[in-house]
Amino acid sequence: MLTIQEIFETQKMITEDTLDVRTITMGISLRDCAHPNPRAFCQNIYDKITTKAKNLVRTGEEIEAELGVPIINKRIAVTPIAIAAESCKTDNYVPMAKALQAAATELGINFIGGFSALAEKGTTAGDQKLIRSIPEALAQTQIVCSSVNIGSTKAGINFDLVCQMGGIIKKTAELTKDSGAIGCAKLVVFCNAPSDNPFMAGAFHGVGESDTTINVGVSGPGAVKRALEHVRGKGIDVVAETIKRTAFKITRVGQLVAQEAAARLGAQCGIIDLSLAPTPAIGDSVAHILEEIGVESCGGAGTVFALALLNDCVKKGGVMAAERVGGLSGAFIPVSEDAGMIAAVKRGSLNIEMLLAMTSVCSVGLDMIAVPGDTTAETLSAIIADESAIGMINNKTTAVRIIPVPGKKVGDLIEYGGLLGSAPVMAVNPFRPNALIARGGRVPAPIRSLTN
Amino acid sequence: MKAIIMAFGKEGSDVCNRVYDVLNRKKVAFVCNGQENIGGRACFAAIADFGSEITNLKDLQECMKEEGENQGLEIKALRPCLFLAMHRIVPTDLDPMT
Repeated sequence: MLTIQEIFETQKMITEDTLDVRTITMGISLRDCAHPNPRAFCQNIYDKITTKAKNLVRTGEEIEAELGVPIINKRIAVTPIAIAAESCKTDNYVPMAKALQAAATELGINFIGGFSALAEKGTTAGDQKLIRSIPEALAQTQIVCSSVNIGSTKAGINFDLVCQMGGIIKKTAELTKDSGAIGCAKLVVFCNAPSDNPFMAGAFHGVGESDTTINVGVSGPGAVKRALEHVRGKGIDVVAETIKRTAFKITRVGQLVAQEAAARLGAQCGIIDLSLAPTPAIGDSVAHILEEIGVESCGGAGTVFALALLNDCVKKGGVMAAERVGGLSGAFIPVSEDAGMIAAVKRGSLNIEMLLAMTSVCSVGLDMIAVPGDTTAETLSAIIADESAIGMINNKTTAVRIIPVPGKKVGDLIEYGGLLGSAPVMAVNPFRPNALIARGGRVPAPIRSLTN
Repeated sequence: MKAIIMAFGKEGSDVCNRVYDVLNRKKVAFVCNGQENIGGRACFAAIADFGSEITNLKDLQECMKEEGENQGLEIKALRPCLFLAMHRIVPTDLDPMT
């Protein structure tokens, strides 16, 4: 039997600690939409998305009202367009992005992901058409998200594509310079991209997935921090246990919502993404959790240790609470979306080099990082290469969502608003990787990929 | 049907008695109840058994919302399953929807 204390504990987590379901994401396969005529293809994808997801928003709102937990976002992820549109007789995939935008707008969701290419070993004609369309597609749409997978532990790294993506990011920034290069905030470059990630901007519906799936991302940095406040001064094993117990409760919320949503929408119940995803709101910061564990300022000595502990314990607590765990499932460290991260950058304790080290033990990578507008394409590519090497060698997902803001320099603050927050422009190492990037080629899979 | 009733009012105000009046008129049996301050507001919570009088959660939510507006409160009716899921390894059969 429930006790009244347990009811109040849950309500406090929701009201005071910003516990919420960050996203219900419906994954939709577009494999049956292929058509050589691009207009017909665009119509097919619009029709399928608006049919399968027509009740997504309403269902999310109903579940929210019945259970009493906020469900912040309702989103859609589709089959990578580079795959679905491969047979289209066109060189320009911008109309496909506009079709995704139109479908998303009709449904009332806030983001649609899947303007994507999976090209870890090489690119097809369709991959290249999509990649070259990315800058214009992201400039001409508002809620379409794009991602490119450039490497994996099994395949190695498509270094040719790494070298190309620096230029794609620069062009995207240039085409959206009037809004702080916001196009780059909707573009992720991955290594080991998961096929069932519910979070944007990197969500897409993998080719091995079912026709429609519901994946859920929960969030509760505030709840974890609040729990740790009660164990100040206690041993690190007590910290670990506290994080695990809190992560269990947070994840159970997601599991329940996923089951309800899948049943009502006639979709397969997919995964729960355990990620602790911060927002710019006060009290919803991963950086503040690290500081509560005992780091004076995020980025200072002890940060990687604290983050490794946090990430591991979130997974241990969460995996017991969910039927299936997937997506990114770790701790997010998006600079602009975390009030504590922003403060740490301004204080001078957090830099790109420390962020790179942190990505070796957490899920996402170099995320929502604004850099000076004169950062070269070669430097951007080399940063992608660094991040993908961490992912490839350590058999984990890593990613780069970096924003070279035209006209801005170190110390400037770019206001994106909403969940995208505010990005302080961070310094990059001034030494050039041009000779490395000029090489191109493909990096073979590492020895640890030989697991048979 | 059992449901969680949550009512919110101004901090320091006596939400308890006002909600009791509402629920007594519905002939509700209380399993347990209490009041605390949460997020700067007075919060009353109860596990309430509506018996066979009310069997539809949506109707109950509409009814509570209206009663709340009459009392100057925000009153919600919630399924117990969220709370059970968070606090029990194996949730018991307290969910009216199952």
